[in-house]
Amino acid sequence: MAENDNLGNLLARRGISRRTFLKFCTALASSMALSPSMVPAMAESLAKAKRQSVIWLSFQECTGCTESLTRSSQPSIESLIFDFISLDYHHTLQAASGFQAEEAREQAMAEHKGKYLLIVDGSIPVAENGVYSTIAGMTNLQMLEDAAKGAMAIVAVGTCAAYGGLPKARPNPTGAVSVTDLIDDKPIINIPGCPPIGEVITGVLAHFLTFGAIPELDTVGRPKAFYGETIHDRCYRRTFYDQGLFAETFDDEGARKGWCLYKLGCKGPVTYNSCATTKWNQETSFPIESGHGCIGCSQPDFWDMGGIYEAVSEPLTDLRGPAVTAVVAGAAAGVAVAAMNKQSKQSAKDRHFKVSSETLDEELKK
Amino acid sequence: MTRLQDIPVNTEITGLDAECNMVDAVLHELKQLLDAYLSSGETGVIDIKSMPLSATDYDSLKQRLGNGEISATASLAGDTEIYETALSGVWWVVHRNIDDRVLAEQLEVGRIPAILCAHDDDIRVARERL
Amino acid sequence: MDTALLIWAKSTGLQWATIIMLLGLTMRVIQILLLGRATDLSEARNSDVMSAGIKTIFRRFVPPQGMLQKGLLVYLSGYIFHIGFFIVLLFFVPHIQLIDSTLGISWPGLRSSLIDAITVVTLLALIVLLLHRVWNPVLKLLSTPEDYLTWALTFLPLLTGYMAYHHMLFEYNTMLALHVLSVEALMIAIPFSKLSHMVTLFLARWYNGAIAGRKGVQS
Repeated sequence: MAENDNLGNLLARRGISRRTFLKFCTALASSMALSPSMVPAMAESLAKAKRQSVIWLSFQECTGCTESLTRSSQPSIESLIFDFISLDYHHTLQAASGFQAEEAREQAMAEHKGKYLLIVDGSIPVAENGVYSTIAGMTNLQMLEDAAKGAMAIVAVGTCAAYGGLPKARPNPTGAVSVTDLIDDKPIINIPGCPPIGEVITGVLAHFLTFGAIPELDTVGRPKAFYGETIHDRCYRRTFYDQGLFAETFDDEGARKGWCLYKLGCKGPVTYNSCATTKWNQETSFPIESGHGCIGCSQPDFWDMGGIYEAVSEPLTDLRGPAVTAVVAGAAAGVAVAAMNKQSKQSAKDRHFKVSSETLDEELKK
Repeated sequence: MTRLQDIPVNTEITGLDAECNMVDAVLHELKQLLDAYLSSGETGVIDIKSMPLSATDYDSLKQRLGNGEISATASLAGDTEIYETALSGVWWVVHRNIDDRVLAEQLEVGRIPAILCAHDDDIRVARERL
Repeated sequence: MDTALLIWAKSTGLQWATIIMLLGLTMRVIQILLLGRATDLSEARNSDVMSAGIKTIFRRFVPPQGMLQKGLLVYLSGYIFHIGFFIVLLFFVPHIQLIDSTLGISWPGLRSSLIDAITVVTLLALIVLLLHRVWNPVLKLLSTPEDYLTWALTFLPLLTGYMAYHHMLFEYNTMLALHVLSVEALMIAIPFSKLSHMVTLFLARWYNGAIAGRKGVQS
């Protein structure tokens, strides 16, 4: 495919009509909560989009994000767009290995300097100069810093890349950090989740390819279109929360009736993601729909947010021990202060002596 | 094998479900879109799929709008169903993929839904083929 | 959106607030109990001093004759905010969940919409009391910075809780963290301000009742 080819020509060659393309764009816009009136313009612009070079770096990760992406179904446009992008390096998906793979990365970095899109999944260990994770003898830290220099923008896919994720959970032995912790001079889009919803990954990438710009982000770098509302607010069980109807165990009457899972540790109230609307597995369901609470996987430091089965309002540390200690120490301090009070009272009493009019007269005479 | 939809699921009907009436909101928006079309010729779209419509709301909206004179099915990598509602100029458009899953569902206001129009690029390709 | 702040508030912050509150309160109560009083050499007119004291603890919940009419608004607001505060504190399901997880005891909660309405009423009652404090010239003269501080410390947990529930001002997580932090500020202030009345009022009332009871009068 020629460098200056565009998506519209590819569609024509594949025999995909512009009507079909418009339909895909409509579905894409609907899933991204974009105004439907923007769709025709979006389709026109996307048809003119040039082939985009993409470098995908995987660091401390489990490949779950790539698994999720490759299972993305909606809106099928991804098959078009991913045929259209030039994925120049992705060590799970590429055929090349060893020196050839690394050479492909370096070549793409040099050829498309300042123009390629860098996608990162996995956190970056920085303890001991980053020796905890290396690829072809190069630390993740070094590889990210090198690749970030020539990138047009960076997409941090998955909670590990976006916020440190599991590797960063206390006590964080490898000193894992997120992409934003290391790079501050490039636009960065975070697509957190463990893994993120496949359609969300493709939706954000399609948005980037269409508009050539990053979508509107929230305070922790997530696209508002997908992370604008909490799971709790869009949950179909929300009405039970409001009515005070809760499942107390996973097999009681409440659980069977589909009542709210708040008491069973659902982190829906503190989690921003679109699982409740976009859903998983070809829109089959999402965790709460299959009877399990949300674990809050798209939030920074979610591994340290308390047990999966502990309610949001439960304290994260033991309070009983400190409480008992405080009461004992307080009692001891109270006794000590009372003893001091008594002592000062006694010493005042001891200094007390009787004064007669004679002694006063004598005092005056002096 | 038992299919997913064959497994009985106990769902409590809550008062809230019936109460939250989005239909009036949709009808009101349609009114505004029709006004805009009549005054400036500007077409408009309402995304039904992303609206928090309950099943009751959805059915009642469909009933309120009714069926008009035209209906069409477009085969665009999965069927797209289009029909004019009883209100002239208000079109109900449902996009499905190959697995028959709804990708998008919209109400379009205008003379003809955009999806029915042929694109110039496609027409150009057609001319080349002759 | 500050998960780190929320995590800190729910762990270290809460731990220290609990320690300071309990240590301070225990210290003050023990100190008061060990203060001792001069022995009363007169003969007791009523031998049941203890129950006289206990009766007074409860009798003082009812305003003295004539006072209700004189200060209807203040009495009413006072009752509403105290009762409202305790209902919200003890009957909101997430709060019960917290108590259950630390103390192992629980009871049925109220529906969130009801708690929400009670919160609004409680906030209004507190605002009425503040306005009364500022508009009444005598009360204004008598008020110290501590009075305004304790008012704010009582008001903020209710306000931040309400705002978090309704997603106002900040994203939920940040507002929830501020809510927890405002409660912690209240907890820390309790032993060292007039808020300690939540414990000492029982001692003081009992003592008054007991003295009066010994003299054979009702207090």
